Amino acid sequence: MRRLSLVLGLALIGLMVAAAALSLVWTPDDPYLVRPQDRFMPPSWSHWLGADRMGIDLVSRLMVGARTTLMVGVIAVCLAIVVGVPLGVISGIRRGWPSQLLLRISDVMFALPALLLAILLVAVRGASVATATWAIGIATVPVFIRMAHAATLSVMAQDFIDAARSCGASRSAIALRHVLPNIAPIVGVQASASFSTAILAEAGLSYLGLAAPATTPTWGRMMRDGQADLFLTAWPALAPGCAIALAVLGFNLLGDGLRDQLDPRLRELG
Amino acid sequence: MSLLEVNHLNVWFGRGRRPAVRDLSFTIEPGQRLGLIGQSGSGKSVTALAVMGLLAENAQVTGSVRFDGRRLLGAKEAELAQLRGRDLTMVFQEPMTALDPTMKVGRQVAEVIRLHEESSGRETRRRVIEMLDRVGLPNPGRITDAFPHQLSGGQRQRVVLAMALMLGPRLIIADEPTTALDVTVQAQVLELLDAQLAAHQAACLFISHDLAVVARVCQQVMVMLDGAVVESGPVRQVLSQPVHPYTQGLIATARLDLATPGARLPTVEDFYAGGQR
Repeated sequence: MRRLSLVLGLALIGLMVAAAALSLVWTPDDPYLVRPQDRFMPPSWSHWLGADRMGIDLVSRLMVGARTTLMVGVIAVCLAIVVGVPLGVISGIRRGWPSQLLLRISDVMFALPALLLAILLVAVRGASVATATWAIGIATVPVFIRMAHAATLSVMAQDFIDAARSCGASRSAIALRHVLPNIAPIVGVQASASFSTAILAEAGLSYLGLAAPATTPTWGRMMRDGQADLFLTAWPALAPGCAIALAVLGFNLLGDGLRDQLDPRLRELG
Repeated sequence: MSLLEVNHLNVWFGRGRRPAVRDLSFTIEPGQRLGLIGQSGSGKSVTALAVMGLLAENAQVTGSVRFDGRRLLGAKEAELAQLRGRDLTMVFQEPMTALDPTMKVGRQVAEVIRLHEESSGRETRRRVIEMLDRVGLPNPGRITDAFPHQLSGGQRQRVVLAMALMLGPRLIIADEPTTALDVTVQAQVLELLDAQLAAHQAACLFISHDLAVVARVCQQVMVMLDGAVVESGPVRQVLSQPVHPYTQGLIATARLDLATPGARLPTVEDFYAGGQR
């Protein structure tokens, strides 16, 4: 049963990655080609999921959109990990006032929704996928600071840390050789969970028109365009909506599965 | 000059709390083995951690600790790190938690070398395997590549001992090194510790609540109660002619061979009313 969520999650994400990779070399149709005669065409052999108001093939557009979604997710989560985890670990090891200040700042950032931050950034830098990625990444940093901080505190309370110190390990040696390997599983699980949040945030920003320009195919943008024609045909909104839901589900299942796999207590029982 | 000199050591956690260690003074000469006995909460482990400089950040410490003439209390962390593992090492009570679960055993032992000496990878590995062999681990080549959870408690404690002995320290602080082990393994590990201390001519601060164990390893003994030393002297003298009622109680309760079957067993409180606090 626990295996199931891992396998299902990996399968969904694998499908998404495969579609994105395939779109680099092949799509069923040109994702930018307007065919007025195919406007609002329901699913058929020529358009598997139908065509949108411009007559553009939805499958092709979804595949290209997967690239944007994945890229935004990967870059934003990597940014959050690279910045957040070291800060969290350091604040967990050195508990002076700078660490306290850092934690309070990250609390304040927690309270500020990603969307608000994104609107702020967009106002300054203009709407683009890059801006959206930055905004999502920055908004995710405090999540990793808190998580890494808490995990570091619990690792630092373990006997083997005292043992390492009694062998002459410095703080930095302990951070690199003992703390990081021990919190890595938790970071992995959090990364998976944050990935799904990032995908949702990107879709939301695109939907609001704060991310990609209209010409760039993204799932959120497609949903927004599809929504306008919801009374004529459901497919242009339904297809990207399902894609988003499945991607989020995939990363959540992966996170759950990873957590179960990595928790040694659960592993022993299974 | 004494190897370790502790003077008027006081440790307390938080303002207004009862101190965990009160006005503790003792010395350890090179090669000498000092036992530290007391019940849980008497301040034994806190003393050990204070000497190592490993107390939690909320601990307040006064007094002085000198190792080989160098001040340890208030010394810079980097300075302490140089001493720890090389001249001054510690064996922990719980072998189950004293090893990092994510690191192979051989690498953990090798860390001690890596932190203090320049040594090639192959040379380090050779020394690690040799050391694991010396602490009586079977098939040391295979054990270096094992993770802690693949070893038994006794094997892990031998690994911990190997780490402590690796660089031939001058003082080993052993904090209840055999308490978590079953009796037969306990005897083996004690024998090993005894032999290795003799071989290295290392001094030892041996912490235990077990009189028999201390009698076996140490020459001198201190009895701690509520953070203060109530009695100290040569092991033989303290065990045969205890002066403080608490020590008398401890010894009486340990002598099960003198108990009459069916009669009520003696408790420390029979001798010392303040014993249970």
